[in-house]
Amino acid sequence: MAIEHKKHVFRIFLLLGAVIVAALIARIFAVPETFGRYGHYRASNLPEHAAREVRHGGNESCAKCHADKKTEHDGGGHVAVPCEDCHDALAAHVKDGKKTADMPRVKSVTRLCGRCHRDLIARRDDFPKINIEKHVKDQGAELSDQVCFDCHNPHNPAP
Amino acid sequence: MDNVSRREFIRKAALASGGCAVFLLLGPGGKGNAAQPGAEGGSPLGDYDWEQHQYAYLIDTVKCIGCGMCVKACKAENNVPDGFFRTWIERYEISEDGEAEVDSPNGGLDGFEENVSHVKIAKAFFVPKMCNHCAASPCVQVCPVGASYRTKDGVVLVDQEHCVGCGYCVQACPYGSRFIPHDENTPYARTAHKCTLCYHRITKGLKPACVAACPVGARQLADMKDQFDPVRKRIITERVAVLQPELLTEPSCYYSALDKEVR
Repeated sequence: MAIEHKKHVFRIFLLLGAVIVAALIARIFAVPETFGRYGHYRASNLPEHAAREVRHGGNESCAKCHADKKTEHDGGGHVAVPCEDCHDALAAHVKDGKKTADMPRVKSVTRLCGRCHRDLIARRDDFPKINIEKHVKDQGAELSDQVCFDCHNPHNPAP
Repeated sequence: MDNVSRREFIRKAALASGGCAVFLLLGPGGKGNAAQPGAEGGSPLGDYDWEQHQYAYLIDTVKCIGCGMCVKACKAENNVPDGFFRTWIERYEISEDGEAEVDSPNGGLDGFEENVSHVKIAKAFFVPKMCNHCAASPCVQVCPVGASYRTKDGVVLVDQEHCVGCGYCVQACPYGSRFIPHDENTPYARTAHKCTLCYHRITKGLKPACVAACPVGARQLADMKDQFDPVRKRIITERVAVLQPELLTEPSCYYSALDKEVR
């Protein structure tokens, strides 16, 4: 009788062992190779993040072709506003130093200027802000998409 | 079966399962340290040494004019899908009796056009929000598959190849910094998306797109391991606050002049 029980116990443990071995083999395939090197994550994800495309090139990249605009811009009140704020990211226009497309044109200058200069209550008072509709009317002009540029040069606005 | 053999059985079973547990615990250790090209022991990012940096972020709510250029730049730099935001601007308008009106039309992507509140406003201001890159990040703690992690230089990232899109991290983040786009045209749809602190830029010595885009210097990146960094100096010498400090998430985003209404 004792021998009979030993057999059953042996079988159970054999089965358990087989399950463990199968799980360990499955684990080799399921866990990414670099997982756990620096922490509980896949280390090879780091270079994947770092390798993503840089889409904004900064003012210096714009100046490579538009040096005149940069000189004009650097001497004015908008010097702190990067080119790519009002225009678009470099990658929309240039790839590997070659022009690929025109920069998208700003549809409504009034709205663009208003992003910074509209006289919102939440906007701090030491910043130049204006009631655009009233200002345009006071100047005897009609409100239109490009109206700001009739008087103001966005690259070098009068103070 | 008599009592002795039953006891014997339990004893042996316990021994065997203990042995299995030891085996399983030792198993992954050996594998995790397996030889890999390039990265063994050093920095995983080539010339960039992540041991030399510890990033923090300073948001100056007094300087912010709510233009939303940071939101626009973030979207362009990171192809953020429509309707979702890795960073966004909130506008607070607080009446004299302390009632706060908060809005963020399209995350501030197109700027702010009109005042919201018509009651007498006592104070009003803009507050940029983003991932706080917490040192004790709840989002990392809850990830069941090890797809959320914090780098040694202090950036919380998602391994979107392995994220299963369960959404635990989205619920765990007290700052609402994560989202899961379900539109199949979005790259890595149905996985968690979030601010990477422009890891592809800062590891090349560039500023994050939002910092580079800010025309008033309201958003700044600090390197806490660079003792000559002026932004680090501001963080350690000036009075700064973090969002929801009671949650003990240890945020890396510091706010200057944070109002009590801001959470």
